[in-house]
Amino acid sequence: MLSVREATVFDLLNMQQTNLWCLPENYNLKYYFYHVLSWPQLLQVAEDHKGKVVGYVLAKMEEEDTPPHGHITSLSVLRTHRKCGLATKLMTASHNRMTESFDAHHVALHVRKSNRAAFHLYSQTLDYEIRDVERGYYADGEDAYDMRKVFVSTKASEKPTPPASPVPEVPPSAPGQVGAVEPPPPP
Amino acid sequence: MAALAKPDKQRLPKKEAETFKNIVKFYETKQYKKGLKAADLVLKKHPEHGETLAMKGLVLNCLDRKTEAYDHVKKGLRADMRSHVCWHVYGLLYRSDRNYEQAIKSYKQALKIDSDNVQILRDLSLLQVQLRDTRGFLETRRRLLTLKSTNKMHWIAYAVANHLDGKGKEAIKVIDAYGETVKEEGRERNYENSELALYRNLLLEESGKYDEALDHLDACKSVVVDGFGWRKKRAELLLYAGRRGTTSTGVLDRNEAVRAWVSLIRQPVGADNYHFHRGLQCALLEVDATKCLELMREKATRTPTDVLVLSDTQVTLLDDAYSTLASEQPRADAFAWLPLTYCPAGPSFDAQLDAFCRRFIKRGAPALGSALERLWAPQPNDVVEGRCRGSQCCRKVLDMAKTHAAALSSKSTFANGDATTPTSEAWALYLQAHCLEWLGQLDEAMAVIDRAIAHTPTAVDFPEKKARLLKKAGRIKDAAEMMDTARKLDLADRYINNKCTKYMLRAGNVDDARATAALFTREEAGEPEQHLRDMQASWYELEVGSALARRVTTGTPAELRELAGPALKLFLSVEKHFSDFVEDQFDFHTYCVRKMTLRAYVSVLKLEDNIRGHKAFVKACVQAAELYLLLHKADSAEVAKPQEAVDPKLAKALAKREKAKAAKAKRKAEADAKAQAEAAKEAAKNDDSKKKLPKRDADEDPKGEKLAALEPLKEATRLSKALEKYAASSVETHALAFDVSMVRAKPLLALRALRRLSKQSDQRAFVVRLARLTQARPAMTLTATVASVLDAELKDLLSGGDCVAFLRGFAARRPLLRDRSAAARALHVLGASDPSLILRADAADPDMAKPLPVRDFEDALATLRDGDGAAAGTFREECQRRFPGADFLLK
Repeated sequence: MLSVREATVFDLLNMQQTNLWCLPENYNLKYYFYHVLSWPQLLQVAEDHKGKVVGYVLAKMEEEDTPPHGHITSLSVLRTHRKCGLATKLMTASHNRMTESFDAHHVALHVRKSNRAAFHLYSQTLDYEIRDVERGYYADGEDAYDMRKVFVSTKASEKPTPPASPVPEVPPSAPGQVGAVEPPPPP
Repeated sequence: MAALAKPDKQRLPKKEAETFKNIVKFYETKQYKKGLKAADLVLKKHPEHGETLAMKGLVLNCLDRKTEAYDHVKKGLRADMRSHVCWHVYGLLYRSDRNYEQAIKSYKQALKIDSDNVQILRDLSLLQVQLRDTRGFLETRRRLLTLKSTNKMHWIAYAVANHLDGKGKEAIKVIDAYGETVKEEGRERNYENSELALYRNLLLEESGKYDEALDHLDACKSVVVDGFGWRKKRAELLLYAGRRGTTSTGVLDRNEAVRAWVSLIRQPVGADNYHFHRGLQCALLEVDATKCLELMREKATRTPTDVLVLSDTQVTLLDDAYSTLASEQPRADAFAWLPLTYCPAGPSFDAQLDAFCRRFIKRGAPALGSALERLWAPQPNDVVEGRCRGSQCCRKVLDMAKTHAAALSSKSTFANGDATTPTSEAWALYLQAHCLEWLGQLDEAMAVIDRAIAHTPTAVDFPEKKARLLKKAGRIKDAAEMMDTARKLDLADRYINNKCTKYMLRAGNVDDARATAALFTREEAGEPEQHLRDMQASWYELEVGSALARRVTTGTPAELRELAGPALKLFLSVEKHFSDFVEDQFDFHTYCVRKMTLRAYVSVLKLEDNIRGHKAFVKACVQAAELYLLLHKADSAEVAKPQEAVDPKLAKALAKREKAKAAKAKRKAEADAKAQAEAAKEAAKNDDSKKKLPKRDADEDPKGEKLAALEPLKEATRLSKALEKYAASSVETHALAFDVSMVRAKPLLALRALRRLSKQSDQRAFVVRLARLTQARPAMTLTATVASVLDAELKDLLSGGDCVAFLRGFAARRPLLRDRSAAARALHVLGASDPSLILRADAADPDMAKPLPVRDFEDALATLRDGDGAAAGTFREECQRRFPGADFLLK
């Protein structure tokens, strides 16, 4: 059977390999480190009985923006583990943590126009709506739907707005370092 | 500042002093061009000014002009040895080249001159934690806190430093002392305070104070925004503290711990979290606190009932709990699965198993079979008594799948009459094929999967399964072709594309595999393989590397080098990924203290400590080292050849000299090319601050020629040592250490490796090497001490007897084919071949009553071919019968 749980640091290498097996958009490990060390609550994995990562969601917060909102960086499930509802579960778990821990107003993502299965999941199952079409968003020139799901806020207005996240400290004396993290790789 | 008076030359007039400040500013804001100009402005009038020279070097370093950078910094340092700036810059330069030891030395030198320089102390502390000098890190952080005790970061970093140095109690005190200074802010509910509170709680938990940790959780609830983390921690601590609280009658309301876990399971997606199920079972079964700690550490989908023998009452209790939860969440699979894992064998189990299969067949979920393998192949500590496990369970599923497939074919419903979709028949066949595959009945499995393909020719999963079956039948080339057929059914799916790539590589078809992999890499990222390297696709590099390495067999040293180069390049690229992974943590030492994500941060440090134990790292190093050993062997053979009456010693010396010459020429050519490239780059660049990504240097060694030209034995030794340091639990590590030590004529190191191999549960590598050492011993010329140690130890390993008898004893105890092959190979080393060991071996795994994989047969046949021709012929027929058409039989 499959377990869906919050990812830990120890899942990152496996998440990276799963990503490389499923999707054409890949990232180096540091980008995974950046996610888990910034928003540890938002990363989720699905594992099989041997502990193999068969699906994951890599998500982040755009905290500088008002209102603060979440963003799905990457989601994938191995083809061998389709039809178990994993994508929905991973996304739901991440959504819940966005609202609970980060007061997210909404969550956004990009999806290839041609990826009907994913589009269906987002629009039908998870209630995302198309905000915009981004022409030539992907490296191969394909357009992306810019989609968004607004969370039904219950008590967001009562809570104090969280402070803006500290900009990663760049040791000014560290040559060759662009910053604590790299800019998100082009999608 | 430095108390010592500076010589005049090192003092700048006011105007230049201003300009110097600008250099620093430009450097910090990454305006390197401007920084360079400013430096030159100062140097025009004060060419000997040390700090300016050093700063100029630092700026040059950022512009990728390494050689000049070092020249300038060193010149600056010579001019002004008493400047902390110069020493600091020297350290930064080393640090940018990852030479941390030298960097630390330079920083410490700088601190001798300016002991309270916060900037330098901070840089030093970063390297100390990076290198896990936890004691040094703690001391440096203490000094920083003393210097700037108003800065929150210094408090937090000091707390973490205590934690890392094993002083959890102190860490808590530091956090509390800090809390005292910021009473109001500390009570605000926000992410930082929340993370800090939960970090403090983790410290309590790690020190085993579960009660105190529970009380602390209650106390900090109001600041915590990570409600999920808080609730999970509380439920765990209730178990560890043995606090069950008030007991009530309802099954899901039994006690406080049960209530805590049930509420976690009831939240969205909670039912799929097996950690929660572990917790619920511990709470329901009232497992004692110490045992809970052990059971809760289990991974993946394992739960306490896997290892606990249950009473009837307990089974009923669990059944009650799951049926209640299932009625609340009928779609959650966990409640259909978990009862199967503890239910005693019998009609009830069969009925539940059947329902479970139907549930997944209806959905068309290909993972059904692999989920059931959990029951077919129990793990060592699992309770099997009274439960339906092993091949018996698999055969049960096979029957069910057969019955349903027949029913679906004739009346379009399941055997029990339940309605379903038209594709279900194909999925029932798919399950049937999966069972047959697991049982090793490959021909039947293929016939069944053919029916599934005929039923739904458009589905990728069925030809994919067929390819897998062909692979298991040893028909590697057919398998690759079939996988390509599957790939063509969904060209947009990278998973099937990768599978196809992998199968092509296993079949030795490197060119097609590369072309296939390239279908999913980005054009603008350069060469496909470059892109995969950038993305750290270790699996790909290892697979291509292995395919190429298999071609490196015989030839002259030059030929072998040419073949080995590309493979070495791939393996060593994987090794490099791991160096990068280790380097990756550097920036986060500062970042996490700001973000306050300290729980995740300390886990990252733990991960990094062992990251090179990863199997990809082990595979890469072992395979690269094996190639180097091969190259070394070829070199030695070449040198040993009689060369027209030339003294062999002289020939060796000559060869060495030639090699050195070639290497020197190569180095010069490289240096020239690099200088040229640098000049060109310099000319091309205008404003570097605008350009985010500098243009990539051309690959300096596309075919791995330089790697293949390195001193092979030295490289093999380096890799072997890395494995001993980082992957001490792998068999491969010690097997390699033995092989390298034998080549290096280091018998005691070989012995040490052999000792370590003897403790592994897989003894195959051990027995073969034991025979090799025994066989090599008489010819060794050793000092008396070494000889006596070696002989005594060998005798001990052999339990006092002789090696042949030892191996025969081993073979008698281990009748399994793969162990027998190892024994036969070992005996062959000693000149005591005995083919009957293999011919009369067990060809089925007694634990699971299913046949062994094809590679065991391939290996056994290869062993016989080396030893006994007639026996090999007999065994080949046996293989032919089991694996008709297997590629290895065609050789």
